[in-house]
Amino acid sequence: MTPHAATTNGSGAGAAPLLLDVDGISISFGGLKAVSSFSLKLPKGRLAGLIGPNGAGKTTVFNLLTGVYKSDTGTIRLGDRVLTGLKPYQRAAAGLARTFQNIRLFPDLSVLDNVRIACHLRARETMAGAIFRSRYHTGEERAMTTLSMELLEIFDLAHRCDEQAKNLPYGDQRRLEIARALATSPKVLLLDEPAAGMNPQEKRELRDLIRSIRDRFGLTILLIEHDMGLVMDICERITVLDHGVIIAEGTPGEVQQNPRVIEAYLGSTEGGSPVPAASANGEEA
Amino acid sequence: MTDTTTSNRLREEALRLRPSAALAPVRSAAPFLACILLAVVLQVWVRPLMGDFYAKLLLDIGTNVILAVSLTMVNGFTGQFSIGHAAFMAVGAYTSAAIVYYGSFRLWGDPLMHGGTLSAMMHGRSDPLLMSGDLLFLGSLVAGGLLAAVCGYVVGLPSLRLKGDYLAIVTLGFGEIVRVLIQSQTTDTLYDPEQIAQTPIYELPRYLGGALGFSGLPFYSSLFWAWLAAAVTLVVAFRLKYSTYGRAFLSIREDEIAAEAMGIHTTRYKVRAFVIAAFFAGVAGGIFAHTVGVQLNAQELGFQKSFDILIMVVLGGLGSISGAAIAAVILTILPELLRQPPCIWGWAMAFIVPAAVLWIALSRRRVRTAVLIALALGAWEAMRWLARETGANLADYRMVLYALALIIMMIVRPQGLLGIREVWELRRPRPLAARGDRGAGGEPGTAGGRVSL
Amino acid sequence: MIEKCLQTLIDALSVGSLYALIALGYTMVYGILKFINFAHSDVFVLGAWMSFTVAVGVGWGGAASGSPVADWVWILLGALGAAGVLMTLWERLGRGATPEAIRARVPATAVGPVLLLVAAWGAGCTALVLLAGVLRRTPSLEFLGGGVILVMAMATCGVVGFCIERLAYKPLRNAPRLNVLITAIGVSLLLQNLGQLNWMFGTRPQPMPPLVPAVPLFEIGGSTDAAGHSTAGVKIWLVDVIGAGTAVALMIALDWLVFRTKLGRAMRAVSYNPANASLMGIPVDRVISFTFVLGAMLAAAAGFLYSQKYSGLNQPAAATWVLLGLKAFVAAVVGGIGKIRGAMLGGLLIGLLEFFGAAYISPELRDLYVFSLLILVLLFRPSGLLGSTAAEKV
Repeated sequence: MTPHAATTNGSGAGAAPLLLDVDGISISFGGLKAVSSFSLKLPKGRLAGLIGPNGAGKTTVFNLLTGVYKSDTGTIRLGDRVLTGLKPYQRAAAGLARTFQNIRLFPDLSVLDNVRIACHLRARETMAGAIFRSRYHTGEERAMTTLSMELLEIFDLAHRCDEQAKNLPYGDQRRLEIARALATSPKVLLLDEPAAGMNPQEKRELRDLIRSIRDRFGLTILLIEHDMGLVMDICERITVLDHGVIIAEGTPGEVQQNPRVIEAYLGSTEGGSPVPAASANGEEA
Repeated sequence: MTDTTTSNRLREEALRLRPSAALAPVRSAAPFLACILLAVVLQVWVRPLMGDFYAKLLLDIGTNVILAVSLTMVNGFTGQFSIGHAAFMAVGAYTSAAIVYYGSFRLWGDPLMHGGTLSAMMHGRSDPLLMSGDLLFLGSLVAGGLLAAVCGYVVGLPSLRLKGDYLAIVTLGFGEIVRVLIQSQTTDTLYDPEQIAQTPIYELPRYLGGALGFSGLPFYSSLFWAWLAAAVTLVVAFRLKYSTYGRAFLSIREDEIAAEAMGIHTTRYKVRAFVIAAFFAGVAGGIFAHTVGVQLNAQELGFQKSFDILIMVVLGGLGSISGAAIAAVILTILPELLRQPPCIWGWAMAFIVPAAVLWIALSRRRVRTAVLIALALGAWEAMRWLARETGANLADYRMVLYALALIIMMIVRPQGLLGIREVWELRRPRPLAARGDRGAGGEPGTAGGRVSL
Repeated sequence: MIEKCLQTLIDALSVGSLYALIALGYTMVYGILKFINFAHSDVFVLGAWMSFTVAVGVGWGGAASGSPVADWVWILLGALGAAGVLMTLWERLGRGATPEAIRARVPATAVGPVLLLVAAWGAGCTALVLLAGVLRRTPSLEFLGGGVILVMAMATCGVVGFCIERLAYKPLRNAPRLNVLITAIGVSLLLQNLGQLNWMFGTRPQPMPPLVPAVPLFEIGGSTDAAGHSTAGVKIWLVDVIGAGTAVALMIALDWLVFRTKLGRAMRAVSYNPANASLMGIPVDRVISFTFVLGAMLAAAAGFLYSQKYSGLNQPAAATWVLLGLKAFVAAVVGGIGKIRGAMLGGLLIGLLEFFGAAYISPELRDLYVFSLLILVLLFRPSGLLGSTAAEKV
């Protein structure tokens, strides 16, 4: 299967400089090629979507991008840093943050601590400073708390800052994960099914939240989602994956009409798009 | 919010919010001064009040507190599974012993005590507080800890990259290797001052007593040294836990993959925790080696001792400093209690039952805990009666009881006594820094008190 | 020169096959439940001591008069059997009455296997007592009695392995790994220290009565020169041959069981994916119990054979046993944990390494060689020689 012809350079124009440049990454598990020759170009400020049927390999792509899996081929670049071959914590330091499909919070720790841990990346403390409570250490601890609380305010979680993360309701846990990822002050944010399990009202709020954090923090966001309404609504460009291969790429309108996409989701090429236009009720396809 | 601006902003806020230049050194040093004060009080005022038996017990408690708290730094904070902790204790013990023993010979020509009051467990207060022998001992403790830390680094670096089970085997194996290496040395210990003066320094470590043990050590360990080290360990553990480092450690325990995704170099932090834990275990070893009545022998510092420490940490609660300390106290006293099990009916009737009734009356939820405690007391009495009837010695069953307790605990209450929380957090968990460290615009605290050490 | 090499080789293979037997237990449990059963080496020790108890109790091998097996051994097995019956009754009767939470924690026990093994034990004792009279007149056939003792030791340890799994590991099937590991350590400590009690095996080393005559089967290279002086050749002792032979026979039987029978296929299926296996109708709990029993039986056999070769039995909590267990574990890891053939290969490799190292470099550091190999393998090929790496699904 070859990628859809509409892959110019995937950015829709050479206008904004490329922030995330993924070129031909792939991985096999045993004999199964889970992702083959995946490429993606994200300019700064883009809100892009990655969709595909279940098992298409979307989370695998995220794992490849963040370094959890080692790619067999290809390169990944963030700005002018080459990420290929770097470990996950190094990629986080370079500015790539993510959330997880099956929420991986730190369950026994408090909400505030979950976010403060993510601040550790940008901190300058030393172990000696911690043991002897140097001036700088105490100041930085306070600063981390302040910054974390600010972030929690944005996500409306500040009133729950002392609760254990595992006791939060599901929607709050998802938002906490995003807040935590933001605390690493990333340049690119990868969101893995942030709307899973949310009701329509929550999805609306999430949509506004994603847009607002993109603007406020100057992020570039790549989003995996099954909720077509949400995806079509906020994503500027969408990449469609099926069986590990890109089958389409373009604006929401283009992707909706693409026969290969329709076939991948429905298994036939009959008329009518199963992929609804942006709708208020946001039901899954 | 790019990384540079956040780093800058963090730095600006840090500089803005830091405590005043006058206050900071006080805050930094105060707990350590308190440790010294505590240790002095124990040695100079409390020690003369108690007999030798209880003094040794208190010293043992101190040593075990150090071991348990240091192990909890690895097993509890970072969630790794190290079961060869006694190996670091052995390394520290033998290093310290060699330095003190042969150093004594080199400096004064005999292996007797040259310490002052702070090192005197058995003697009176006629010596000055601190003498050169004390300094030699202190130096040896630090050296033992450092060498143990180096071993921790060497062992930890390759193995901490692997899954939990493998680390367990590697640490257990390392423990046995240390023991075997020490015991395979020559059984000679040099005791002739002339000979010792002439042997080059790098040759001396071969004469550690091998399989017969290292005897003839001066008994420098006292309540002062043991509890100074224990208090310092507690302060360091506490400060580490309630700092960004502690949070990083705990995040590794909670979810390693998420921690890595948040930018934490998991292997590096695991190794750091391992090395610090090894340091304190080495110090504890040094104190152990110079305790009255101890014949230093690597045989005793094998896996049985490692398991003893592990049991303390697990029963106290993985990740809880106070839990580990409390468990260390209880499990050090327990063998003595088992030798002569005391009758608790009197205590129960007089104090515990009324207190329990009152407690239950205050809260319906506590009934289950009260019932459990009542069952435990009943079991104790039953055990005592049974032991008396059958003429068995409960002390023999100590390890069997521990093992059963461990198994039952894992099935019924796997988080141990306190879990990850500290004693003062039993109501609700606190965020891991003081409420008082809230910069501008923080909310008033919910639960927990204000502690800023 | 060559003699020393040959002698070392024979020793290495003989002990290496015992390592392999123990390693099989580790690797099978790891393959199925994905955790290291720390208590496994204590089952090995138990096998050795059990065979000693039976042998001495029955008066085998020329020891004290043929008194029947000590009463307490019957009591012990009766207690185990009773525990099994009680558990089953609890589960059956308590189905409606007890709260879900408690029920979930009480392990279900099948009475059948326990009773069967107890019966085998009883039969074995009877057979031994009968045989004792007959075979005492032909001492060279005494090792047939050894065969019965071997079977009895295997049966006992099988029961113990079964009980350990049901009582200590089953409630923790879904718990975090750390908890299971700690429980395994608890079980290990329990077995060690129970064994050390005065009314069990005691704390003093005991000599195992030799059931195999100390007769060399072959002698290679010895010669007698004209003056009548004979230079010793390489002796291949009967003990070694029987030991290695039994071990190899057991390994072949296991290999056949796992790779050529339906039950073995079920075991492999459970090791790949327990949930799917249960969906396919495989009784997962029973397969897991069977795996534990199998591993325990192999360890017991190894214990018996080891006690024949090295007849001084140390107390159950002695460091020598711990080291043996660790080395067997290293064998399992080196060969590839979870792979049966890897365990066999690993056992032989470790045996060779240890004995050649002891013979040619230094006998005191024999344990060091084995652990150095462990470190090297963990550093460079953690999945072992025959193992395969699998990426964790995030």
